[in-house]
Amino acid sequence: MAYSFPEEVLEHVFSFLSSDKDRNSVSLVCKSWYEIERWCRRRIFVGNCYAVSPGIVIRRFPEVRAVEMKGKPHFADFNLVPEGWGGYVYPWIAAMSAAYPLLEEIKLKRMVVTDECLELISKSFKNFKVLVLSSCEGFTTDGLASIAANCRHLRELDLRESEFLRLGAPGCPVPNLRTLRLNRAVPLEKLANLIRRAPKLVELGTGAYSAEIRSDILLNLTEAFSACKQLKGLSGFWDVVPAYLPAMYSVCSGITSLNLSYATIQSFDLVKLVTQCRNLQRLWV
Amino acid sequence: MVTTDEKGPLTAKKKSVIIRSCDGDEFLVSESAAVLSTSLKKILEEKEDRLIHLSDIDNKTLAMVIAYLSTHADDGLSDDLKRSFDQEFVSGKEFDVLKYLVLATDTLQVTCLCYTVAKKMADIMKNKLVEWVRREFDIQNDYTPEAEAEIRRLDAWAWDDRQLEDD
Repeated sequence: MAYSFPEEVLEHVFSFLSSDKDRNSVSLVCKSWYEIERWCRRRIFVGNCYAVSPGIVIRRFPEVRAVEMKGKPHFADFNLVPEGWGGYVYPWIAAMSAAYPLLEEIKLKRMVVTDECLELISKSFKNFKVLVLSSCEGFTTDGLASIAANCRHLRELDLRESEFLRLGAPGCPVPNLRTLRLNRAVPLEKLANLIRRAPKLVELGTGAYSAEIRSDILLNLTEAFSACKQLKGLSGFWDVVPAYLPAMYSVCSGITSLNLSYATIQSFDLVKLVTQCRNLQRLWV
Repeated sequence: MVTTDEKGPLTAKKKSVIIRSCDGDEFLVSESAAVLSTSLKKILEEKEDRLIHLSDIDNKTLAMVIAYLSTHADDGLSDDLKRSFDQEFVSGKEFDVLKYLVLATDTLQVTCLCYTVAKKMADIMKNKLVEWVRREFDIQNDYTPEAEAEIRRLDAWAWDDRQLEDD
């Protein structure tokens, strides 16, 4: 029996092929599959921002919803890449802001992300949900403030190992934020105000968990944590000052996953913390 | 030939329809099962005739789709049982069989089964070479060797998530 596959059936099948490798194979089958595949590719990973131009990506894949991209080489982590080397994400954001109004996710690694970029992101994509900046640099809390103010659907903001300058503290609520991972540079004094703005947090990575011991900081933090009713995962905890650990005891019973692999914590304090987490399922140390 | 999907004689209350495959086999199906297919439902709403002829679905494929519809129309089965039936349904089936099934479910508009089969096909296609896909779908390569090489070069260089793993 002769058969030909309707386009929408092929799209169903392709939608379950998530890796670029498999999608690339599919587009090599024949010219019509190339056309069908490129219109329904929703996620794209670019291993090196200089390997291809934004224009080529956008022309080939017009309906992308999620972009993941790397900039500087791995050895940038060891300060072996000179200042001003490149890895600027701006040309990409500028091109995508015009081409992908429905973009929902941007994940960047080792790229230079300016406040201007963050502002453009926050204003260009109406349904923006996930921003992960890992080992990125070049932005300040001003840029993050525009993300918080304009991206009403933001679910995940992850700044793992990114360096940024802190300016005035922005105060807008981020009602849909589910995941927030800070880096070591964010001090404990700021944590209370940050989590107050995100009442639906499920995953929290703290910054440095240390401050001089003051009862107002402890009280403020304790109150802020007690409002986080949906919190299930905790990580971070750089430079732990044990006196501040009881601030989060109120959320411990809901915690199912505790990642202390970055934490600097004494085993006595660790045991005390873990015994509070009665429903713990996963623990990294 | 009339095959019934019901056990025992049909009761007068239960309305049924006869569905004929492209190769002439006829299947007696309860109306409650048939209407789970959006296309069959539309046909039944539009005409009195209780015989539906499907000109592009063969008897083996049709029998499988009817088994699916009958199971899902059975009020006596729990949702869990139906879910495990769905998993069983596609497991171990040849790629060729799945191809005809996915086309039939598209024609008959049985959305859930269409997705289940499409997913199973994608699972089998994972990590397969282009040549395998062309052979299984019986597709003629219409690229020039130069054009194909050019796409391969760009794909490997620009977007390939195997690079994700290095660091």
